[in-house]
Amino acid sequence: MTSHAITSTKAGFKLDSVTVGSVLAVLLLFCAVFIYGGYLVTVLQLAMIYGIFCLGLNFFMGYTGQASFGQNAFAAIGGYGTAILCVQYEWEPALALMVSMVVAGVAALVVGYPTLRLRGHYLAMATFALGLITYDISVQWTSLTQGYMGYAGIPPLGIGPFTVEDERLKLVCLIVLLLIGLWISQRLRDSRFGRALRAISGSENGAAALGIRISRYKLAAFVIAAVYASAAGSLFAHTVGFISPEVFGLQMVVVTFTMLYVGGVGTVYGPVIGAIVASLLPEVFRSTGRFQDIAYAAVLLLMLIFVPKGLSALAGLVRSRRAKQEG
Amino acid sequence: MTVAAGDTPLIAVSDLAASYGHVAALKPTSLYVAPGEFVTILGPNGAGKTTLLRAMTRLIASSGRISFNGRDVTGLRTHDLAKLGIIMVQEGRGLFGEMTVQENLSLGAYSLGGSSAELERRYAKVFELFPRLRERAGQIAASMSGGEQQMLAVGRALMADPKLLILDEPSLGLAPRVASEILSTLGELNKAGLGILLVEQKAPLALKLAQRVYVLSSGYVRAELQTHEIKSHHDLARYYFH
Repeated sequence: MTSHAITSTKAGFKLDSVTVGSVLAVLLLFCAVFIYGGYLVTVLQLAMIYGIFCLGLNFFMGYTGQASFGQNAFAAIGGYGTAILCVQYEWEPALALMVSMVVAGVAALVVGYPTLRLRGHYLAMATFALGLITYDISVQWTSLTQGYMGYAGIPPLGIGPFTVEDERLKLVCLIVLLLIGLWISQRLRDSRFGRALRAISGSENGAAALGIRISRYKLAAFVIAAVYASAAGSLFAHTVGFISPEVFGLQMVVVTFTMLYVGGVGTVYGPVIGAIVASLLPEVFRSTGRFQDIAYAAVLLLMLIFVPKGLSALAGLVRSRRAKQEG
Repeated sequence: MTVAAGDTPLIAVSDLAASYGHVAALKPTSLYVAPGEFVTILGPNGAGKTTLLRAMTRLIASSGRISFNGRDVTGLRTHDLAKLGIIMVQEGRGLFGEMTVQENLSLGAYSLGGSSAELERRYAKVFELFPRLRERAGQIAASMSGGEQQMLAVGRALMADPKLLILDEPSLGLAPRVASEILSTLGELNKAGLGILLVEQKAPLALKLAQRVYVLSSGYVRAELQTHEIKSHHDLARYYFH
């Protein structure tokens, strides 16, 4: 066995009918949306933004196996950071986005250091409190956040003289950014760092017994999740042009959790699949009128019952059933 | 093998005690392992054997003193002890079931960092001891048989290039032939100079390999014996039910 063969531990991507069919369906969907435009462009824009948020959340909840109900706080830092810097100080959107990501990362470092000493439910409650505190700050600190009024007139994403005004072009930009986020996520997952995170998820004691410094890695995953969340918050602000405290409230926590579990927590593609499916499902059931929420909830329940590991595990599930039938 | 006056033991614990809530699972206990020595801890269920190992590797809070190669390591945490070369194969193997064999092995060499040549040397050593792991390199650990999983657990520990290998019941749940095979490998490793501390229920197997035995019962070390002193199981049984 060659040196490379031994040390490489990259996750395989198996091509089969389910995977090929899913990829084709997504491509067709995007093509149709590009051709016909309209409201679905906005829905997919938001799906891409949530996808970026979920990719980060997946680092902490999926790869590392920790619970956080407070990542919306870092999306708020990104959203408000970019809004304040662009609207009040007329910064370049791209620069504001990056500075907000750095601020969110530092905030996660400061908050995470004491918080991540907690485990299980205690950690979940502490992070939940973090989200609630951030929401209260965004409502109460009106001189900074403009309270319930929020920020309007946030410029679209752009660099220098180039601004992305067209809605289809915005979607293209968001797809590219999502793919970059996905690539980074996959690279990190398959690295020594990613294996250490997954070891912590498997068994904290087992990981520590191999020399892995648990607290440091948890903190790193928390910071990465915060940076992704901040990027998502900033992109939301630049895409929609308006933010208010409600955007980064409890609803965001519920929606992103749903996306993560529908797609497959701890998988590479799950967060993106979940974001797209959970964003489109309500639109599919829009014609059912007042039964929309019931139909949406029923489908989510069915998914969780029949594909408990998420839609990204569907191909593997079909493969193993076929193997059983053939065997 | 004993430690002569003035010699430094590989690891020595003195008055190590641990409790779960109000229950004292391990009462003040002292023991040592000399460099290159194979020591076995025997005792009935609930004797405190696993607690002792977990306390020694700081997986649970404990009082008492631990020294390693003459250095006081009492204040160090589990990951620091692992970096020093104290590696434990936990009861139930502690594998990362959803990772491949190769990923599990690479995590064993986690403290090594990025040195590829050294990593290759360690892979080669593990694959030489357990050729089946090479064949199964891409397989998910959870999908392997119990024996193969135990080989992987030991192989992963060896990837860390340990100075002291601590094993908690490696034969648990294995067929006698497989258990014997794994314990024989431990014997070979010990002959090559590796210090081993083994907790084992299967006394006859363990006694074939060990140079010295501690008998633990009700959280206390009841006896410290040289294996050649043990003529029959009755010699041990009287300590078990003290």
